[in-house]
Amino acid sequence: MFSFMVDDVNLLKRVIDSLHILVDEVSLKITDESVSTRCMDLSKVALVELYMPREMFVKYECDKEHIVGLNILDLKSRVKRASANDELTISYNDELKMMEIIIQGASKRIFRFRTLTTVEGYLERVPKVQFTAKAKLLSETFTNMVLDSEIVSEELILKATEKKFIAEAKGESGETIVELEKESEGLLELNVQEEATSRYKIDMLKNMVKGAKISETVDVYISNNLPLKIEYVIPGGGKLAYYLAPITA
Amino acid sequence: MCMGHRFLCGRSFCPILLKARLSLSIKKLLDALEIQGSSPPSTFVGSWGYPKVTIGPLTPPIKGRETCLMDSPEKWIHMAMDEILRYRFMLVRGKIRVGVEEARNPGRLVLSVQEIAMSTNPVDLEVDFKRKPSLKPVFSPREAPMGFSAPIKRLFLEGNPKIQRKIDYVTSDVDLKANEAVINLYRAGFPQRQIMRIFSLGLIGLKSKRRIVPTEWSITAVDDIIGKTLHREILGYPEINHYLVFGCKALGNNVQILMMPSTWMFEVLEAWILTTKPKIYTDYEYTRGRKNYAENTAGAYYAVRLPVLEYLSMERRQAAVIAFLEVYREWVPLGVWRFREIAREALKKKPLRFETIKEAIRELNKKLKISPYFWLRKSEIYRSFTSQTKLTSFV
Repeated sequence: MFSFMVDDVNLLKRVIDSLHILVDEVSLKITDESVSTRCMDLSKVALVELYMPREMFVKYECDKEHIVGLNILDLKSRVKRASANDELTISYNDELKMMEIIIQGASKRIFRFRTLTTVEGYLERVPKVQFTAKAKLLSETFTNMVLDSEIVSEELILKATEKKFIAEAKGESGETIVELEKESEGLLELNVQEEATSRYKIDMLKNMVKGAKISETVDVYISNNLPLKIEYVIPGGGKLAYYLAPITA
Repeated sequence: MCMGHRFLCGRSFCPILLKARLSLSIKKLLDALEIQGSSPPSTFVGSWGYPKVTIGPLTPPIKGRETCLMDSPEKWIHMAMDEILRYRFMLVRGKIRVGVEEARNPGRLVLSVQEIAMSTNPVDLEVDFKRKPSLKPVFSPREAPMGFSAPIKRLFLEGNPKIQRKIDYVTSDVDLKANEAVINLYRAGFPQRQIMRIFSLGLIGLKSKRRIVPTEWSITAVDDIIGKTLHREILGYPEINHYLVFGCKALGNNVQILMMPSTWMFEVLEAWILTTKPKIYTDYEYTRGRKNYAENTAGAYYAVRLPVLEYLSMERRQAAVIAFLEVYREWVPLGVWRFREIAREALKKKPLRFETIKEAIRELNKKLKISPYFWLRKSEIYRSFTSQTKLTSFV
């Protein structure tokens, strides 16, 4: 069996949301050390990776490695019932062979539901990419880069040069350019080994930047015409990363 | 061209109405305060004034089992347009004004209309009107046109309508959700038209949520409910291996369907070819389906998506699908059913198979009036299919 208790219910809700924007089902891997998952969206264009070490939880127990398939909506609808001050425990009941969510507040509420027997895309492999540029940005700044580009186009080009990190979008109605220089307030770090330019679908990126609610900063990794990786640090030592395949010009 | 709305074309007379008047001489049959006839069965719920709406049965002034043809769009695509118009204008629409929530506790009139909606066979009716039926043709982008109408004073059903056991069962179950009831009836093989009527008259769903739904909305709702279920199903199937082209022309409409080997994606491109530079309307969805309403192509989107999903579900495959809809000058707005039926007809035929997208496009070029290159410039799914890489190719 396994069981872990979270004290920040709102953070857990946000983490679940950040998975749900890409997939409807996940397979969670629960070990003595962490809770993690890695799953690809149905169109195989994007991947989400979540890692939460045991230190993130108030109480943590796990006897052996478990892999459980969950319908995210099943999980979300129950967790949603908890309010910010409640203590929430997620566990697996070996006798009943069911997931259990226990919400301890003014009363003790127990929700039990079934796990999924087969989940596709179980612990996918991460794309092997040598990233040549990394930018650390304020999450809000990166979110705005994506939303500004969306006004004119369905796609955006991310560029990293030695001094600048740029998002460009061109459409029938005009173009948008968002430039961050090394001194810009929104750009915290910029490491460029080799200049990189790559093009992505805004539709997908827009979902991913919703992860911004988890963390104030975001690391964006790009290379020339290769998948991008954006990574948010979850308070308490966890991380949430997305990979997105590029589009060709 | 008014695309189905009345007199937006700016002409002082409506050519469709004129055609209808000339081709029909039923006025004489209707010069009375009452009619007797067999409803196909057919019912209509207007959307004007919602949540107070006009509902009622449609009945021709003739009796007989053949009247069922007057409300069976699935049998219309091989008919001539004026024949369909003649059928439709022969139907007299009775009108009763009710609140949509009356579906839960129907009065006598509403109950009779509900019984007609549930019937599988034509229902013999006697209708007394408050005044003589007048000709006010209603053309809607989604529903087939209607001609004469008048408010109902009294409505008699001669004998009991034939209600099949399955229908009786799902309409009596007040704990069965409306979408589950729709799927139940669909899987049991009931015609979509009949399911739509039952849905529209608030005969299915949880007791506390039942309400009368305008016909226009019901048509698309039923297309969407069935479509969503099939969508979930096909996501588990393997992708097709070739490029497939399907097509059918009928009633001044041309539907061509291109399927490409990929996970599910779908797009409708629609053009009304009335000028030399027609505007292309488009709506699309990626693999996970769409959550908001397809505003640009509206009912047509859902009407075409359903037969496409039916095909893929039958073949146990998934694909990226682009549907090209061309509407020509000779078309008069008879409703969105024609896209559904023409697409179904196209998908019944053996598809043309191609190894490359280029060959498939070359074939489409022969079939479409607008060049596919012009079409595809507007297509988001084509763009995505040709330019979006997959993460799996970087592993």
